[in-house]
Amino acid sequence: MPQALDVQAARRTSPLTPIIRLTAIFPIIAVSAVEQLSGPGHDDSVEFVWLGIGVLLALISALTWCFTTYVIDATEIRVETGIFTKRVRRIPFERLQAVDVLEPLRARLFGMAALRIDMAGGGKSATRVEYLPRAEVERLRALLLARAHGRQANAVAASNGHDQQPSSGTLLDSVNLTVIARVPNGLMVRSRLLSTAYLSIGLYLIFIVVTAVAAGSPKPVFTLAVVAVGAVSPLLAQWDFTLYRTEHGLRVERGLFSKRSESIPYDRIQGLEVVEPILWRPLHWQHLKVDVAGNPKESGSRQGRGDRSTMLPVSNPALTQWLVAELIPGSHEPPQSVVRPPLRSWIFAPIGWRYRWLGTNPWTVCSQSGWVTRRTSVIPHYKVQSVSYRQGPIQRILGLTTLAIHTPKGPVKVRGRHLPDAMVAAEAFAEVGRVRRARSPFTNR
Amino acid sequence: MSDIFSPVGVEWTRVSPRLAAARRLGRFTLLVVITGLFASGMSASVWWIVPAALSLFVSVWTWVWARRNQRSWGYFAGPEELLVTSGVMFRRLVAVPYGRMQFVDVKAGPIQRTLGIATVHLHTASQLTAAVIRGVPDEQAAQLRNQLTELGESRGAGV
Repeated sequence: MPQALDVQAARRTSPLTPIIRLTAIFPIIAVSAVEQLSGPGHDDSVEFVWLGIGVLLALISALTWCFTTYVIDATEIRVETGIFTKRVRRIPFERLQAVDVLEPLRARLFGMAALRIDMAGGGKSATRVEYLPRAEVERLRALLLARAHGRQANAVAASNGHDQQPSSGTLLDSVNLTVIARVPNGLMVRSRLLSTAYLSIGLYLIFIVVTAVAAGSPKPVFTLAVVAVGAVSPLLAQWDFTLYRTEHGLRVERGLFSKRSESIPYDRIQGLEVVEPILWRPLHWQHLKVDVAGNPKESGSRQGRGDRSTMLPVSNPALTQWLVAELIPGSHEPPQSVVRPPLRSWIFAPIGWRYRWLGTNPWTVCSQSGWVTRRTSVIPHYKVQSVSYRQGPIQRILGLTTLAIHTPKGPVKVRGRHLPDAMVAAEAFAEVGRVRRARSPFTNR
Repeated sequence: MSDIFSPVGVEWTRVSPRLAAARRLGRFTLLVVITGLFASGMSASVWWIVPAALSLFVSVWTWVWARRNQRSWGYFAGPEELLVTSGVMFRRLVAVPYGRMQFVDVKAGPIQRTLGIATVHLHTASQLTAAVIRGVPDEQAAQLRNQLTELGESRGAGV
């Protein structure tokens, strides 16, 4: 098994890294410097100040790069950073959740990319290795995913008392790409424009233009530009959205200027959610979200670019149904027992109570809620962590209880609000039993 | 009607009455400090009566609340899962299969330590689990932690 790749000495990222990082802030400095220097009546020392700032930033950037190394060995990946105090991020392969390849525009210009690794466990858990040549990042990702898969399978095999089987064909991951779905850009843009967020932005823009014309001032041009950029960048982030199937998991590729490619191993999918806003329902459009343990949002992400929870920005019922069934085995079977809130629960949701239900089948637990935006969530029993129910004073009078199914932090929530007392207790203990017996079908492959 | 917060076959282990004492002590210290500050600022006028009366009311309320709340806590280490219940007005019951357990924390603040009680917190991969048992007597807490850790290991499963 030990190959040449297996144990690696500490490596630095590409020496172009500080330059790429500087290109992010360089224009700001250059613009403000030029602005000040071209202004009337400055003395020569100002030039030196700006020069000094530039040199200092370059130095810090170079030193930061110099003190950043990464190591991939048989059990984990380690990233060491810090000029004065050394910080080590260790990611054992069992805890690795997802691996992304990020290509911001500035890095693409140099043919470089960054690797982003997500780990199970709350808090700020995303680790970045930036920047490396694109091909190298791809190779590392394939290696990490294969390792993660192998470790998990081995752990299960060992606990089942079987012989350990090393995973074979480790580096084929990037080769065996099958397209599951390509979202047409036109459809994606139309679907986004038909959302309440964009409609309100549109109304706001009209309001600004009208008031500007009425007042006859050119001032709102700047506001307009800012709003327009803010509105367009999420569209660019979802541009050319393609979902692939690979040997060990799913891959999403998207982005026009800044590209990203996100990989999620099958057994790291915690749950799925189908979102159907009221405006989309007549058109049979759906938004498919996925839950992965770890941070769905990258810290400091702008305009939701770091949002990895989208599996398909717009989909049709047939595709959604097929994909959900594919990713969560058994979820295509209709729920065998469905619990709905009774009429007396109207006091908590005068309209919404009719649209809520919670159902289970031998493989999954799912729930639906919402009459404006309908959300259907599915969680496989083997990913459920615990089950709880709670009851407030008004609920007690009415004989209602809220049931909650707990999974790691993420957008997908399964719960049954204001259900009849007796049914909740029975359902909760039945669910705990199913959870206990459930085992992931993916790790045994 | 049977109460869903005491399911059939579940014998709740109730927590120590010292939990109520710990809570009373903590709240009263805070109350004395706040009332003292207010009263000293108002000592010139007759209106110091107001904070005094208010604090008297809060004291009585805290006294009763602490007792009732302490009585509401309970846990049951069943054959396959741990059950924890708590709350008087807003009641909650959580069930955690041992296989989903990641680790067990035992914590105690200064007041709790003096009274010989601790807080046992069972963690899973989900932060929503919040399986916290307050007011467990020290020796029982250590025993519970060992028992849970053992059960967790024998039924271990990953995320």
